Amino acid sequence: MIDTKKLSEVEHVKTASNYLRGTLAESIVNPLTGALNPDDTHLIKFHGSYQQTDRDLDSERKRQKLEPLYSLMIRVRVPGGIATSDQWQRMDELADQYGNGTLKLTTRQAFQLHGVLKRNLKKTIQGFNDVLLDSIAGCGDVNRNVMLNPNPYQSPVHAQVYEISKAISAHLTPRTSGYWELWLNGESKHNSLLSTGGEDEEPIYGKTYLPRKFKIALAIPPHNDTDIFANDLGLIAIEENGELLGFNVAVGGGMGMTFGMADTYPRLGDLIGYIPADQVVDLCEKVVTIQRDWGNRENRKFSRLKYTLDRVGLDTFKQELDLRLGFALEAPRPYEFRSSGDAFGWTTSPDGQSHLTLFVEGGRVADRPGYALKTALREIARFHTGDFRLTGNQNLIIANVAPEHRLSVQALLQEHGIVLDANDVHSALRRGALACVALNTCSLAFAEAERYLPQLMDRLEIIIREQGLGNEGILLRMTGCPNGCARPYLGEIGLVGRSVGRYNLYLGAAFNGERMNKLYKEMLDEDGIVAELTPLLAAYAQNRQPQERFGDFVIRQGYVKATTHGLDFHQ
Amino acid sequence: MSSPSFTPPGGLTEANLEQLATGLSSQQLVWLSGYFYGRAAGTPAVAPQPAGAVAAAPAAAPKLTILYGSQTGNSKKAAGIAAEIARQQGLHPTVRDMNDYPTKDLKTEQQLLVVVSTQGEGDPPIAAEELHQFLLSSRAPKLPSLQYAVLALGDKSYLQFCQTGFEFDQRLAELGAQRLTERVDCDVEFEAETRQWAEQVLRLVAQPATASVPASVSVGQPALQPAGTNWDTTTLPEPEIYTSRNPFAAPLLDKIQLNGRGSTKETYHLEFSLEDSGIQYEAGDALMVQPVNRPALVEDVLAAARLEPTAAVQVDSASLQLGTVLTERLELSVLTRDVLERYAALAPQHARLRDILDDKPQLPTYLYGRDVADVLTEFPTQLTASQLVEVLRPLPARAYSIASSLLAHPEEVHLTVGAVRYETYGRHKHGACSVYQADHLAVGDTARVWVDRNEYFKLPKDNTTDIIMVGAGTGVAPFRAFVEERAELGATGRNWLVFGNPHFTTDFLYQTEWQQHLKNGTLDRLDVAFSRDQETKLYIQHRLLEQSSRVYEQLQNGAHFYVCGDKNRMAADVQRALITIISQESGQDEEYAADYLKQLKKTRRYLEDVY
Repeated sequence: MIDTKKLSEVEHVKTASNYLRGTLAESIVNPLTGALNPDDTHLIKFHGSYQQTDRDLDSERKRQKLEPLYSLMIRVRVPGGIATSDQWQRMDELADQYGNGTLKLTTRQAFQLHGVLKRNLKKTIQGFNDVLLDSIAGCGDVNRNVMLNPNPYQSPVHAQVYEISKAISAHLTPRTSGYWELWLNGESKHNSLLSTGGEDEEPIYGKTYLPRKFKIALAIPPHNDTDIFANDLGLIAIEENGELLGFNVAVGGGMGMTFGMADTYPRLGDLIGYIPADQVVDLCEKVVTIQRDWGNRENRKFSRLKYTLDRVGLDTFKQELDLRLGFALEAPRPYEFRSSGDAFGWTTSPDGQSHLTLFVEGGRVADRPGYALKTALREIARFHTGDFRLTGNQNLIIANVAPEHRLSVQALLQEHGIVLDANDVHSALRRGALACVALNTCSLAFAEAERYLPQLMDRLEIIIREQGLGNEGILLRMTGCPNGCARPYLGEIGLVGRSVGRYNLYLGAAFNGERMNKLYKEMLDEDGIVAELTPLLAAYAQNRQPQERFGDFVIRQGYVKATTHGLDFHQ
Repeated sequence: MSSPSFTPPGGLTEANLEQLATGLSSQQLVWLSGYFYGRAAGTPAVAPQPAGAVAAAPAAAPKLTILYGSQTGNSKKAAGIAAEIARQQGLHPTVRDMNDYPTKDLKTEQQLLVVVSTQGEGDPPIAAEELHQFLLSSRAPKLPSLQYAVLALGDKSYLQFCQTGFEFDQRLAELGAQRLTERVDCDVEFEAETRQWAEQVLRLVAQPATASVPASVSVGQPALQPAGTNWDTTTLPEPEIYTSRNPFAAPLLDKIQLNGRGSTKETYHLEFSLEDSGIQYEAGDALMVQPVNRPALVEDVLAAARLEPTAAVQVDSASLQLGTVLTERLELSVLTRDVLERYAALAPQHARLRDILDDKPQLPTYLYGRDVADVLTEFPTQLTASQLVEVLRPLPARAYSIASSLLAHPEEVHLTVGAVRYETYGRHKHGACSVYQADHLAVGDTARVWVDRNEYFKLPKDNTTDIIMVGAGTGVAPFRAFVEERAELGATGRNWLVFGNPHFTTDFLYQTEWQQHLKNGTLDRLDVAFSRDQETKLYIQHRLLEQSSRVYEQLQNGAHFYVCGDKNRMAADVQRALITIISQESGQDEEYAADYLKQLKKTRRYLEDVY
């Protein structure tokens, strides 16, 4: 039995919340503060929102006798990353109307609106609900947005796998009517699974939901741009002659750790077997329920599935899973991942549709002088009959462009200063880089990431080009804290913020997302980062073997040891 | 401190007093005065004597009454000055407040000095409304045996300058009273003229027989004791150490822009040191700040007048440079009728200027938004430096409601100042004193300041009385002082603040302080109206209407209701809302509600500090 006295604070909040309601209704209308009641700041996450402040202004406003500039970040789920033109237009409009005028495409294929004031939260949620988008379970101790690599031209089974990803997402969406009650005046436009009438019930989660967040990603080899091994549950599509058969199953991935706590660590998922396609939704439910029952609810730093697995052992976990499924998983099938990045520019699929993958630096859709990406995409969405696909690398595919629209799309982008083929201007290093939001809105950030990376990149690109490596894909990932939103431990170069202007440098991850990196140097400032990387890149340019990736090179040369498991990440 | 009037109540004769006083030393007399004062504290108010008592008593000296009608306390202050001078001359004046003056007492007056101010566009102060209305009505009695004089207070920048004083003066003459001396109309700076007027008029008042005491004179006991205010009809203003003639150089300790980034407002919180000045003030008082003009404005005026800053002018028998005089002594940023009149007289070639002045209804529109440089440019004429100086009016200090409690911040005074900046007639305009503080005054600099007592805008004397504070924008300033003061005093009455401004995120003045007060229980309720945060504009009065039953319940419970901020719109809107609330909650008609509000004003439970 669980000793309730030891439960973490958040567990008590969840227990008392009446299925995620808490005192949110009062919090939202309190006109004296832009903040929510403290307990509600935990619950609002389940509704897809984080309470944040503009940290650039915190001290200034304190002196001005004003509270911090509180706002809400809203994460809008896009299962599989596919949004319609109508949905794109609405998100674009909401960003201007209630947000900070930009849209963030996240590393988990979701939209994020930033800077939404509390009083506009309800209107914003209603705004995207009108186009059948939601934010429930965007954050919180539940299953988050389900990822799937969005490339429509790469596999004939994409459509099948996409349907499965949507089914998983729907099946694991909380059933509480609290979300609809609080934000949508009780109306549900598109959630048939919602518990209706009488008492709320959560058949999968129960009253206290999961001990911690839960992430699922699907990938169709050879592309691993959803980084499935970084997820609690990763599913690798296995196909045969254009038919989807089933999925290889990997469990226990997760990026977060805490500085100074060696018993916290990032970990990649372990491949535990194969499951036929028609049983994969049930498998997801069973993995989730084991974690629900076995996960640590006393210390949130050890609550993710990865710690549960390492505590009970993989075999015990597998036995339990077989038991709950009622059958044993088959052995994993062969597959091969070759990369985890995006390919830019136009492609055409056999059905004659065109697809354009655009590089979106930092995933930020905004208008800047000479670069009106947001406007251009809005204009395109007005006539585009295909869809918009958010990639796991914060980029965007304008997909299924009708042949007659191809020229207009191209012209509009060029008019607004957008580079069509990112390969032409940016180094491969920049094109493949990821950065989390960090300062000024993320409350966890110790250092800059998205706002700063372009500036660091300007310096690194000079070195890269001097060494003739401009077109060599090298994965660089930067985060403002060790919690891992931009999957920094899967960067061949990982930069993790320690304090303002200081980063830990990690090296040696695999290009295809199957090996994590390792700490190389600590507390580097910008000059330090450049000084450390310059000789490494020079050595790589000179001494690499044919096809050898940077992450493999630094291990072969002994700069760092290979990380083989989360448990040896710190060694 | 109070200095009691020296007019014995009816029934006490000189003989009684002599009998009591015989053989006593001055020390013993002082002790006795305290003894009787102490006894009086426990006895009920003495009713005014019937008019008949006047005729029956042997009147050795005429009865002298100084009657004031005050809104901000200035008329009360002027009345106090006159009374002081009268006493120095051996007279025994009774100082009375029009607010508590039964109209029937008029007939009993013999010598009456009227001090009254004018509000806004020619209206009497609330305290004088009833008497004014009565006097101007056909019910007013003939007053053939009355001698009187009027001192009118006002502000020359208003068209109807000193209108109420004018009306009292005219009407008393019509009713047959004899004018002792010509009425004197005072501008914002009234103290020197008050003295002159008082000395002149009191010389004309019959000398009293110093040996006899007029037994027939009734004491000015208020017929209606205002609830819980800590003022007294016979209280004289405490002599100030620091005044307009002798301002205190207060060092600026801190200056904070209170509006967050992106605000359309620019509001400053200023903290001045009063260290070693001995300056005392109460929550509700104002601080006078003497500005200097902006160098750019002085340059504009000099250029428009085609005069050199080094030109010598005689001011107060000293020779000064014109540039200095314009910077430090003369009003440049506000154009007023009197200045335009004097200028027009020196520029007769501009017939249109005359037309503008003669078109009284349109004159305020012309004056609004124009400064001295605008007029000099629009109607050029060559003046000498001295002429220019004579045309212009003195640069007045500006009053700011004090935003701090001396108990909470010993030896400091805080202000909340909204910087006024706008553009009219092709030039950038700046509020003389607000922008002086916003731009010119740096931390460590000193500003010339003194305290201006606000007689009525004070916390209830009773700490258990509820208060409702309604303030928009910088109008929140005195309420910061009120809440701080009540927190320090441990007052148990409920404190309710209703605050309004354009935007929540940038314009919630003192937000974190209010949040703390709410947490501590030193603020019981806070309602906010951020007018531009939703599609339809929402103002303070809407919040009051939403809380209709709460407002009425507290008023019925004796709450004091305070309004501070914009006079023209907000105060009127709040009054309208109150009438609606009172009518709605009492189930009575609007007439009843209007009367209810009027009673609140009369008993000084509805108080305004508006500008």
